[in-house]
Amino acid sequence: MHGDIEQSIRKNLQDREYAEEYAASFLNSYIATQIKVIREQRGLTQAELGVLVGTTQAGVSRYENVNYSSWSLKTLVKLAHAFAVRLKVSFEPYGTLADEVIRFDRQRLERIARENDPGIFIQQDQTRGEPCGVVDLGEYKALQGTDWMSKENMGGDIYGSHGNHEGKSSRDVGTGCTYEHGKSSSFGLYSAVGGQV
Amino acid sequence: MIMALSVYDFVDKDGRSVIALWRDGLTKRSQAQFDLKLHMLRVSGWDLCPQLVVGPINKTGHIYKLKVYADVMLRPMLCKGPFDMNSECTFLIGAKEVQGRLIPGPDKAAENRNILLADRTRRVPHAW
Repeated sequence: MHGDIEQSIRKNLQDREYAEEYAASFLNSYIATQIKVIREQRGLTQAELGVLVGTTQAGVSRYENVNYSSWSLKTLVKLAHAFAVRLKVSFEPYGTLADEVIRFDRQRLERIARENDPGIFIQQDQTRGEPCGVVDLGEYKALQGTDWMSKENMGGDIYGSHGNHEGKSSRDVGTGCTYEHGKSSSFGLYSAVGGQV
Repeated sequence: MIMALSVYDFVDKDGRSVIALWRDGLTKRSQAQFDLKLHMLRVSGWDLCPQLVVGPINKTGHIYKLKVYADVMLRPMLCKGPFDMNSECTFLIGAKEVQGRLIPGPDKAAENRNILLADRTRRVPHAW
């Protein structure tokens, strides 16, 4: 869809000075926008998030500015804890940047919270031998860009385990495996609620 | 849902993009900053990136500024539409901000917008 931009970015990134500035600007824009997107996904106001990370509404507003550049790992870790996600910092080649820019949208910035994360809860349920329902894990894996959902990593075949728990639908409540539509996810996932971590 | 925008540039009487000319006069670092912000606007639309576009900044309520912190405070001005307010925007003039004051001012951007409204040929698709 954005082939014209993609070509232009790749060409301009051949210049080192341009590439460094462009990448830095994207990083700042990415962080600021993702903070706003996940805060909205969690239903938090800027003031409420400020309380969780020990700053003011104005402080959060400063973080949610694509031109803000004074990030510290300490602040980002606090935000990650407030959002119930982990912080990932990674060095990357320039060649992947154009693709990240042209695919920049709200859905790719959203993250499910730990308590709704099937990467934790489903694995645990498998360990206990209590299969729980999963909807479209392949899509989740693709969107998250990880390999944790592989059969090997999961220690068995989870894809056929939608299922009946005590003879009831996997979406039933009160069967030991309770499911609800992932409130925090826009991917249409179902998540196990109430498990122990 | 992707909210991509079609981006246009106002052109001068000789048919030259005022924004392309303005960009050519920037340092490489500033060009990179400006390009990234422009790409974000094109790809994700008006509302996703916080404080990317600010406005309206003039009395008539049609002029916005793209905020770019570069070697200087770059503030190219643009409007929604003006022919399709939902899916397109038009860059009207390049500018910078010095001590809280836009140079040139938003009146010049509004003037270019009025010229465009009277003559649809006074813009071209932005050349990426």
